[in-house]
Amino acid sequence: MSIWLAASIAMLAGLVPAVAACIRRDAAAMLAALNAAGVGTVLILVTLSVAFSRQAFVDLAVVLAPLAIGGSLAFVRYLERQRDR
Amino acid sequence: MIVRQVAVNVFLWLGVALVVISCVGVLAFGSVYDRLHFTAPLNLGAICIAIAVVIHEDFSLVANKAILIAVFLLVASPVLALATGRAARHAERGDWRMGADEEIEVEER
Repeated sequence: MSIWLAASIAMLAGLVPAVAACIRRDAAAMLAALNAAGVGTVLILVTLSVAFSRQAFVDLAVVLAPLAIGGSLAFVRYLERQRDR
Repeated sequence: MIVRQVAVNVFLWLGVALVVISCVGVLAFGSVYDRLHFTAPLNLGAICIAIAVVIHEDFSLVANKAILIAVFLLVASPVLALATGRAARHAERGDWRMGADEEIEVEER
């Protein structure tokens, strides 16, 4: 097992607490956990790309990074307007 | 060659440690404001992993994309953290911005 694959598995194991944090507390706290989980997933894809020498994984990470941030920003807008209703 | 391998190991595992610590910290703290503090080390983790990829691959296509991702996260993550904190504050206490015709109420003691 290469160090890159080991690093991917370690980060995947580390991602479990962030995903667990996504299903607790209030919506804003869940959103903060979702941000952490999104960035963690992007980094896992980068290390997997090097581990398997597949460029497609890093392309996926390049797409996922703006989508994760953009999706969270959209949810932030919803959260801000929630009180006004 | 050995120095290069050691550098890759150091940066990679430093990045992994930062990611794992951030994720555990996010679970450990319940408040959104506490949790937002733990999203910052993730960016350092991204930089460390990008450096490890560059050392390992030299400036290949994968390494360049890893740098791109690290730079993007470095710029976008603080914006998202700020927006999340602002939304959480807004959801808790309402809009803090006052209208132009609204007067400031000062409590007399």
